[in-house]
Amino acid sequence: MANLRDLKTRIGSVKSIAQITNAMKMVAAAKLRKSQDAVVAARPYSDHIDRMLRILQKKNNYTPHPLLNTINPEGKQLIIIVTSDKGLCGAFNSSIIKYAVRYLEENPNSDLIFFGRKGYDFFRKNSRFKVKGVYPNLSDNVSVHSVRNIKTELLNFYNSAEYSKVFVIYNEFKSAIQQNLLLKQLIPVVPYEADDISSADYDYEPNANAIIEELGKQYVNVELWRIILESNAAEQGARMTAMDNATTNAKDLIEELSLIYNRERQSQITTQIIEIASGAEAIHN
Amino acid sequence: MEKLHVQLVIPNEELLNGEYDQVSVPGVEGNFEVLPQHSPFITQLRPGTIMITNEGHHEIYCVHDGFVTVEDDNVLVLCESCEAKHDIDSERATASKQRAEKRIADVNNKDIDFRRAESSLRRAIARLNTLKAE
Repeated sequence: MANLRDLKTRIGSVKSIAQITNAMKMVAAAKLRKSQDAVVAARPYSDHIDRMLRILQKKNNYTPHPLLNTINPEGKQLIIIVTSDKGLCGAFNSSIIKYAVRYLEENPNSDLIFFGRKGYDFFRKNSRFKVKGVYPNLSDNVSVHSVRNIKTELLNFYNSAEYSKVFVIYNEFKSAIQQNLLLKQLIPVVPYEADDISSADYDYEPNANAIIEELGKQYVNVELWRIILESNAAEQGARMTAMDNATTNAKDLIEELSLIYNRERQSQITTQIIEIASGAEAIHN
Repeated sequence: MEKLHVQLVIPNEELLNGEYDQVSVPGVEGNFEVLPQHSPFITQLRPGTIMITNEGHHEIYCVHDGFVTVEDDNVLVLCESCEAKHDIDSERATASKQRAEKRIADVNNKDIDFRRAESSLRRAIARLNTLKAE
């Protein structure tokens, strides 16, 4: 009898887990829509800033601006690791952490900055790397302005000439069910050979260097902002998928447990009937 | 008649994207007008009024900082913050102008960040001037 009761409690608890995961899935779906809109809205501006900086870079090949050419090629690397604050989002954080660990094995001369708590929690316990900053609670309400402080700090680190390069490891938002793990070089800006840049000579006001300086700051600011938004949307997508899988698994489990429960109940009833029947037989005889 | 293709983009929105006759922009080294066939150039913006004209009709915005690129009759204005004229609250702008002026006047107070006060004064003035623009 005890076995039957156990099964029943278990079915009950799996059912309530399924309800919770299903609710989380729905919440993630709603948040995903919001974050996705934010990502899409941010793209034109960041694309334009990016392109503008590349035009300046291409036209001013010999400008030794620190944002375009590293100040100290021998310096350490500064790695920004972008994870979420909360768990229950499948392999979202673990894939980032795994990648970061592998990358840091190959490039041990690095310092770390964390966006999101999960990555920091892991590296705090398990590594000897120096942590230069931790920024939790970067939700999808972040604006370009609110990232400004992070940008200033980052540029101070970079301009101190301690670092050769700044990299970001993050999940890019592809679609609701797909995230792309990326390693992006943030500073110095990687030049690209675009053919969409016209051969025209530009006039600059006040001058190219001043514009590169300001635009470079704005570029770093906007890139950080975009990366946070992308990672947020990717996180919600990953959570939605993970919770959907969890709900499906719970339903499968409920079915399986119900089957065992019913079978067990059936066999108990059969045993009882046999007992009664054989008892009756004994009296009859 | 030739037209300019004007885009006005802020971080989370594209405010304008269309064909216009003329754009007037507050560059760091003075205001200037862009008409079709303008030579290519890139400039930084200072707080001021940007006016985009099409067939006598003006679109007026107040911009605080940003960049402008002109290239092949394409005008691209990128700014971090930008308000349409009708969104500007005149009382608030006047109040913040007075506040900034008071702070700047308080020369002996070491707690005041004068650069911040100055830039907020500039922004307030730009807002008020935008309201006067026709």
